[in-house]
Amino acid sequence: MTATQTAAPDAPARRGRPSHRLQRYGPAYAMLLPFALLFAVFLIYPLIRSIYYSLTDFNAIRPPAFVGFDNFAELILRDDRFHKAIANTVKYVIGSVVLTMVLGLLLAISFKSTSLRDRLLRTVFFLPSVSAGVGVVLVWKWIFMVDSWGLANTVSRFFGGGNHSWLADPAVSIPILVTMAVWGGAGYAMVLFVAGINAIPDELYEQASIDGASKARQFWHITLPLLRPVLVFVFITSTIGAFQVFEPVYLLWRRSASIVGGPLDSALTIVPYLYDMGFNRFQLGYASAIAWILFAIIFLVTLVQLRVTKTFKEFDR
Amino acid sequence: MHQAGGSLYSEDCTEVTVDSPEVVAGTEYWAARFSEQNVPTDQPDISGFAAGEYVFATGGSWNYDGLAVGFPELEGKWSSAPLPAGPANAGSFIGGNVMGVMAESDAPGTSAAFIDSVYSDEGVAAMLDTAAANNVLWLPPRTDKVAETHLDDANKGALTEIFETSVGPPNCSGWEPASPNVQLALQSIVLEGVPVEEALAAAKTEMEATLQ
Repeated sequence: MTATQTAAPDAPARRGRPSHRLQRYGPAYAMLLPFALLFAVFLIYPLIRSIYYSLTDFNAIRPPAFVGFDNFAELILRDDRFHKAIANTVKYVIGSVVLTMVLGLLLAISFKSTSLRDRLLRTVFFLPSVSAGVGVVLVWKWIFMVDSWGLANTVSRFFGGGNHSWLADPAVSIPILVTMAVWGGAGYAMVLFVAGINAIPDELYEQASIDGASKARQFWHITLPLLRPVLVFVFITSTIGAFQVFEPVYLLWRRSASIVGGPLDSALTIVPYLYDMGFNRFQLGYASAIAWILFAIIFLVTLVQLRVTKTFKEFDR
Repeated sequence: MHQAGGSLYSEDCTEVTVDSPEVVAGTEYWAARFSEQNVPTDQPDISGFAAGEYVFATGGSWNYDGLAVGFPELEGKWSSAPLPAGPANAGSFIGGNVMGVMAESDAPGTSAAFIDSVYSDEGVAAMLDTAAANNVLWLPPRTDKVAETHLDDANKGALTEIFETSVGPPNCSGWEPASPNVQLALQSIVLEGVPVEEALAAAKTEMEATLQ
């Protein structure tokens, strides 16, 4: 107490002395400066610029002319392709996030121990998450090739079916995207869930067992509630990532410069549509508006998720 | 469409003619290939063609070398040929890339000189040599130079004949932004069974919206 009383009057004087502050924090700021400059030039400035472009008819050739909120009005009220992209994205987000979390949780529960078998299998299931994205998509493209040597058609023929034009069938475009996302993301979710599950004290399970709780009851009343922070983290990051899906759509379905969304736009999601408008048709003002609508959607969804999580926490108390 | 005597636009680019009876007839014939002859709706790999899995498929000039390099055992067993002529015209569609100089360009003279160089004897020869060294068929922008490609005589002859009657995309302002929507309309015929007249009417609406 005495030490605090004597030190307190000196502290503001020391903090306020510019030479002392510079001596103390100068090197830190100097080391941060290169990153801060790059961050400002390559992130902050383009972000601000894109807000401006979203209010113009910028086409990369002529100087942009201010059009107010026309781009946003066109997108929200009249652009059927954008509406289709939104609908496809929502289907993809729901399918991929839910299935990734369920499968990731099942894998985590199945292979959570430190035994050699579990560690090996965790590595196997985690491998897709660290594989090169473009290479993986090209393998999937091979799987769904229309030719008889495509793996999906080989399996189809083995069971008595025939060759199918998988990538030209609008009905299976989103299921194919979801399958790829779950295959690639479940292992990552599993690793996070395993860390969360192993952090739950064993005593809780022991006490529950003594009280006669079944394994299922322990899962619902101990594992899931205590895993909620990890579940929320995986849910939010998976959702944000799913809303931004681009590479699989582009690599699987781009057949010509003007077509990016697959047959009948059945695989057209928001970011490929943004790419189409911005880099195929050079409607960069319009594409910027799409980007900001996507930002607003992700922001709102994340807010709702956090709000729901907070409500659960208050309910628990 | 061209073989049936139709066109996307009128000659002066003032009118969309994609719903004319000729285009309807040509489109119906094209769509029937998928329903009647099981033509794959996806773009197949060249190996499927080599294995004899298709009666018809669409691809590009890269398939010449794809076959030659990937399936040397088929050498002498295949060749290209012009499409059979339709009721009104002979000919195929020919695509490619477009080069131009923007009005706002800082160096229009240099840009134009570069484009000229691509069409020059030296430019074409250099591109052909480089392409041949990499086992890639490069079709020169000058169709009189087809004879200098590394293809065999039969394919050179076929390509020369094809180029004499082939047609490119319409040179009408508004086609580029409209073409994706026209493709979607054509897909709806094959994949959803939309009547040809209905699909072409939808395509016409999209094309008229961008016609300048």
